[in-house]
Amino acid sequence: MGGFDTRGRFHIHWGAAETYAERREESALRRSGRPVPDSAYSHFEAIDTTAVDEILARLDYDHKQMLAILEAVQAIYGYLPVAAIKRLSQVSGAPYALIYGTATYYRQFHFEKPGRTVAVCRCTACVLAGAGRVARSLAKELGTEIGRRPATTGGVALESVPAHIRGAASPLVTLDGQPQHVTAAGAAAWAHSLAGSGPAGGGNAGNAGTRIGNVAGGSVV
Amino acid sequence: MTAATILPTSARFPRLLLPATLPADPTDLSAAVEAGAFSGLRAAVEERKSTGVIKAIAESGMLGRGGPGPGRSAGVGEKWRVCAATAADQHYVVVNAYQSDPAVLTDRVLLENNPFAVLEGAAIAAFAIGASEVIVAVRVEATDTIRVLETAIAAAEEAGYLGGSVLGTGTEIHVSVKPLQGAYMLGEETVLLKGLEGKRGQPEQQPPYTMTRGLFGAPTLIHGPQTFAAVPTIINGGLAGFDETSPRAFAGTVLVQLSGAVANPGIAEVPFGATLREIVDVAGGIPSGHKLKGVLVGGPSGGILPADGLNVIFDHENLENAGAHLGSGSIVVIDQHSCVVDLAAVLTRFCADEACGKTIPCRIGLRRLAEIGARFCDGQPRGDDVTRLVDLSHDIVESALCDHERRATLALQSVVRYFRDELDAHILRNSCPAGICHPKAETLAGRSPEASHA
Repeated sequence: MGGFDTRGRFHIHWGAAETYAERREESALRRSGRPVPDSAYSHFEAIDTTAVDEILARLDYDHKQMLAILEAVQAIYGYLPVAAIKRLSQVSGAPYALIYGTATYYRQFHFEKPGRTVAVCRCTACVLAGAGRVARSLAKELGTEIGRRPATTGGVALESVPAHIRGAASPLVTLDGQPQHVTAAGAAAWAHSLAGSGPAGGGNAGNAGTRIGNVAGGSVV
Repeated sequence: MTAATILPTSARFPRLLLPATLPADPTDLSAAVEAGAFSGLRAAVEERKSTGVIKAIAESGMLGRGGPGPGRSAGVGEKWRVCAATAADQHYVVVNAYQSDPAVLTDRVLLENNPFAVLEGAAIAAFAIGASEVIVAVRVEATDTIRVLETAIAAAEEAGYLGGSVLGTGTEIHVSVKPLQGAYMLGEETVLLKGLEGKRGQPEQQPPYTMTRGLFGAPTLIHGPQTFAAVPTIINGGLAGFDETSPRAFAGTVLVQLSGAVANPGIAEVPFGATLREIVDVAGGIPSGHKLKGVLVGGPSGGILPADGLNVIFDHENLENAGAHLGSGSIVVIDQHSCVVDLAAVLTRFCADEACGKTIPCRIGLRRLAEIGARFCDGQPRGDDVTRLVDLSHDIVESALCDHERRATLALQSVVRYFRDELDAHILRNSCPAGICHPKAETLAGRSPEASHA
């Protein structure tokens, strides 16, 4: 039992695999001579990164403009592919983790090909009109939470509207940026038709719908 | 143009930021100069010089819109003095027009209707502290604001009020507009600087204050556009006769956004020192059929004041004492159809969702606080939840890094302080007076972690 270190030297490991920063199941795979899958890179897809180089050259390889660089990269690919961030890191010299940390912080960046996005406005007028309840029933029906990445590629993502769209009625719900007519009572059914598949919560979803229907009667502002 | 009604106010309320008669074309420089724009900059450059400007600002006693915070207690003038006294190759002036509150448009309306006042104030500040760069940070969504600002900056540079040689003196003041997006926390000053530096937005511990070490490590002066817009008036000495309307020495005016159960929602310019009742009356008061229950002051991280809280004087000190703060300048009137417990729970959840995650009291404490709030509304409230809420809020406030986490506790704390009857109805009788929430009686099963996340 043992493993090679980063310089290719072989070390014998005495004791449990965890002591040597290995997972037990990975250790077992490796010891038996089979390939060990790397979960972190399973989504890694090689793409043409010449566009990234052009953007970097245009913006002077300046890490102070990282937001502008990332926005330009996303404008070209539609999302931020891992290969593009790796290339950014390679060329600009900024650590991958730093760029990834920046990109995950700002809400306009995403790492998968965009699917549909439902957004709920959380301004005070909408909150008073029951936006909290709408968000809760949408989250339950879509099987996600606000800000969480969709579980499957092409799934529906739930977000919050950055600023209330002028003239739009409260509570404001948008689908891909377009205001939708969604009432607190009808939110669950609307999300159900959107998702296309069965509700995530199974039998609970029906109860949630009626409960929210009752609530909406008393909360008209 | 951003669609928002600017409400007319009584003659007792001076209009410093948004004049009663707005110009037809706000980007028309010659009309603005005739109306007095850039005369303050001329006076600053030709007569007062740097020390005279800082002295005038300090003597006015003006406070920033964030109020007296740590390191800011001495007001705007002290901030300018410290910034000017810090030796560096480069100083920066940053106009923080990133309005995080999704419901408030006051800064956008100010920049779109009176861009030259903000630019002039920022230029005076840049001249006083020796900065050659002014950065106006705005939201990407505010496309109208960006367009107006860029037109106004180009016109002012053409006329020699900004740019390579300000008023022919050879002083450089370059103004740039920087659109930002993607995070609620960008409204906090140190987070905004991180965003401008192209980093992930997390607040920094202060001190060192931004006046000595800010953008790219250089001394940086940050104010909101409303603060900068008031500067030319102070430099021109145009505040005579204003002191009588305000019970305090000069504190200035502020733009507020009135919404909720009022007759005419909109934006109004009100002086510090007016009472909340006077301000609500500007929006036409409460329409018939609605009964006043409370007022949410300060936006998502604000506090909820009770009905008799309308007697509170609208300035930093009195609002803080009452358990609210000026915040985004949002004033929401709550009537009998809304449940304050539900509102506070939703607001706390919003603040917890928007937290950047840097510190533990914010990342975990606000999450736990939001869970307590959710239990009041639709879960199974526990008998000791109020004690838990008060203790946790106290711990969060005491160990906080930035104002976001301190003020995110205000909503639920003010419910405990002012709406105890309504809260007790949720906890003890499992009923909601407004008929919105559906709390259930506490059972052993309700203690499961799954139920507490409801």
